[in-house]
Amino acid sequence: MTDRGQTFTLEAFVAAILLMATVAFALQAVTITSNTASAGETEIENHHRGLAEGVLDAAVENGSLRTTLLYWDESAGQFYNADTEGHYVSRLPQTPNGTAFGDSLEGTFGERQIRYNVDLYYRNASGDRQRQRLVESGTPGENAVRLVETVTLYDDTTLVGEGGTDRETSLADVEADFYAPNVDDGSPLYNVVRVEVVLWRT
Amino acid sequence: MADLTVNSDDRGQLIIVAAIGLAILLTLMTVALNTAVYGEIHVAQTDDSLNEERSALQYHHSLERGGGGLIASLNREHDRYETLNSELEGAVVTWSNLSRSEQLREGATTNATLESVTYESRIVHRNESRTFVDRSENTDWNVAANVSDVRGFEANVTETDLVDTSDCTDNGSCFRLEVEGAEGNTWRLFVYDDGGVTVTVELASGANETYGPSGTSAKLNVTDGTVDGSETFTTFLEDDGSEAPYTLRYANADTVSGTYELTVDGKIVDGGIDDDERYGVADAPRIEARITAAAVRLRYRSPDLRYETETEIIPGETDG
Repeated sequence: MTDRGQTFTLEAFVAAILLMATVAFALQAVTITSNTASAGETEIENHHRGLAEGVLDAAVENGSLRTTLLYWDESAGQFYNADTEGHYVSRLPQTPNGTAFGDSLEGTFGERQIRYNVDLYYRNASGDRQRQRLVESGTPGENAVRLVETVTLYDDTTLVGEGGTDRETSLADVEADFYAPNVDDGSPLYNVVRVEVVLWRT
Repeated sequence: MADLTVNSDDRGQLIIVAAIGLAILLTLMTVALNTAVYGEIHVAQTDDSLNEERSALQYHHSLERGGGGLIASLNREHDRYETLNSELEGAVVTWSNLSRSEQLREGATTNATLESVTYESRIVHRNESRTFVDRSENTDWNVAANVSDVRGFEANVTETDLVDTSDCTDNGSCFRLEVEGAEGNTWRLFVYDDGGVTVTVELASGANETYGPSGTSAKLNVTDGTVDGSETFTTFLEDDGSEAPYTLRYANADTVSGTYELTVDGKIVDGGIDDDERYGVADAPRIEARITAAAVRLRYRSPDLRYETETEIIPGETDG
């Protein structure tokens, strides 16, 4: 009978702790819905992003991104060996029918059930944003990863031939037949191209 | 011995306390699990801020590459200080505007402005029959004053106008190139005709070295210290008594003819090249200016990141 008071006190403390724990839990609980990416999916996305960043950085460093932008057949008005409407479908061709950037992209993502779009954005003389597709693989799925890079072109930048070698034809020579126009006639700057790569898992 | 039996009236309370204790334990485990899941998702989501940092650095690098190519192109097209400066300034503004439009779509505002330009000056004289006088026919004149470095100085001299003597070191009427160093010490190179083109070098210490005669003409490399590619002399760059900045001066320049070409650091005229009485564009020695570096201030602002710095752009690093 004399223990009953202690028991009541203990019970009161436990009840108070339980109440506080419930409040604390409610305050920091994460709402997980069907739209919330799981940690696993996010990790895969980040993995793909990391791979793509590596490919893109290497392409800038070794010049193969520049080469790909200039792999243009001005007489046909399209990229060399383009599939349709002047651009490539599903994949960027590898050498010798394409460029080293195609080798890197296909080598990294070709066997991973990953599709990618590559679009080139630039401004015309009146400042409007234009797009030239480089690779079209469809509509990006959920959890697509998007990366961008900037390439500056100059009036005396020379086009790249089908075999991957520099030609003597400069952008200034083929202004009317190149996809991007010369936005600054008075200076050696030709245009600034924004390369956008979007990857997603099929 | 203690009584371990429990009064039947207290049993219900103890069961409730035990149940509540168990509930607390389960709640704590749930909280711990939830914290772990939240942590993983949070870490994955905060990678976005790393992406912003990457974008800022990407902007920085694309400016360096884009600007490097611009400078290389401008150096090929222009050779005047003012033109190079104004063309580069305009091109950087255009590049900045084009990039800004794209960066705005990514949620970042950017800007790049040219702060300063560093030049080198190539002084060229290519008329073989003309003497080494300046545009105004001055025979004693400063070719370049207070330059921090001299990169390459070659001259082809013929004996046609050289003074015919066996000793020039009395600073008489012979042609001489004087290089005055920081301490006021002077290194001298005399060219005269002593049975052919002959060269004497007088070090800051006063010691003399004589080379030749070489024939009716001689090719001097003043910075490598060679006469006709073989005989070597101590250059002002190697002379212990002579240190940068250097002032290069011709004396009795009407007593030597041929060609010369030298490259020095910096801008060597106060105003425009045409305003300087020493240099011209036709027969007289001319200056071909080149940009060796440009300081550009760049700014990148996104919702969570503010990045502002000044970067040095050098010609050649290009992606176009």
